[in-house]
Amino acid sequence: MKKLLSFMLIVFFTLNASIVSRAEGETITQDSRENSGNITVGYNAGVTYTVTIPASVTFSDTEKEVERSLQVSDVVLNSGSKLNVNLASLNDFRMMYDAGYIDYHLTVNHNELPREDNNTILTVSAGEGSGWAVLNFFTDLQKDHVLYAGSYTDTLTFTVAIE
Amino acid sequence: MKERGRKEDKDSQSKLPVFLLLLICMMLGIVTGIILTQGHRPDRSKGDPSVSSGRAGGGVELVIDPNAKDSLSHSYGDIQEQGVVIAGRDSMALHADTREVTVDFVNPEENAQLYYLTFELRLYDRNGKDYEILYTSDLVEPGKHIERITLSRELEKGVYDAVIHVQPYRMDEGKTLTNNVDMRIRLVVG
Repeated sequence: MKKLLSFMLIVFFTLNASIVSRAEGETITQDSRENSGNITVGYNAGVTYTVTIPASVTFSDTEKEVERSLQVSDVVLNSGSKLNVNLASLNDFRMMYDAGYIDYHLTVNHNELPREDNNTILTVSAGEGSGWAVLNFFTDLQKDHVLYAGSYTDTLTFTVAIE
Repeated sequence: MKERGRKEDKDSQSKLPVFLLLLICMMLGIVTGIILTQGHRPDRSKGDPSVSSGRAGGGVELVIDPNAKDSLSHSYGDIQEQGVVIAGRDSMALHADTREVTVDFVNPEENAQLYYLTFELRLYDRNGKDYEILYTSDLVEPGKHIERITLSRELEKGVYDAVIHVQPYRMDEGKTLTNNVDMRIRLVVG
């Protein structure tokens, strides 16, 4: 009886020991010849960033210039690379409503932005960590140009690419 | 002799419950150990059925993505008034020949009470102009993220030019569209 109990206890502790080893995700081996070893401590930092874009720009009869900003923060890039933000307009910088439209234009850090699509408006180089740009939107809205009542809109796409 | 034999039988009978108790303890220990090593997988299929749906844009049905889970807290720096905060990356790694892939499409907590986000994975052709949509999410609430998605098709091994198109929507009744972001990435399929 004692022998049986002893055998069962040995089996029990052996099984538990193997389960604990698996839980650590490693197979534990022991070599009495090795008394020292090396471990590598590492941190893999992936390329990441956070971009904050203006959600919308709204003009009115009394507000024909609107200031917004574009911010890129927490930028982690590979050494030597840079992050570019380009700007494109869905309607070629025109706010549309039915058959009517209202033109607008903008400056980036007080420099006029060409009307062509996909101009680079912000660049952040590796190591800089963050960057921002001031965007000023203008419209030459003339009351007599507005043919239809309604909400005139355009959609801007900010394209972020890393070179 | 007979008395001694009877005594031994009695002793072994009295040890039987102890032995059975030990045996049960051992079995419980083993089962508990196995359960602990295997861990628990969270149920990703649970959504929030209480949130109603709406329409926006070109009549597309917009619903809360049931795959979006609570996101870990991140620091995204100073938030500008009314701006939409979007977390970006430059690449995504996928396994070849499977449509089920792991991603991390997150709507930062900083957009709380302001913007839903939707995520669209677009695979561009060699010209960089035309694209194929591999995946489109439903609305992801602020503070939630999507971990597992199903692509429209499997991809062969290789490196592809792709874009994660992030479209924010205001968290109002109309769920109106705002400006959006295209994040150019390398899709590494291995």
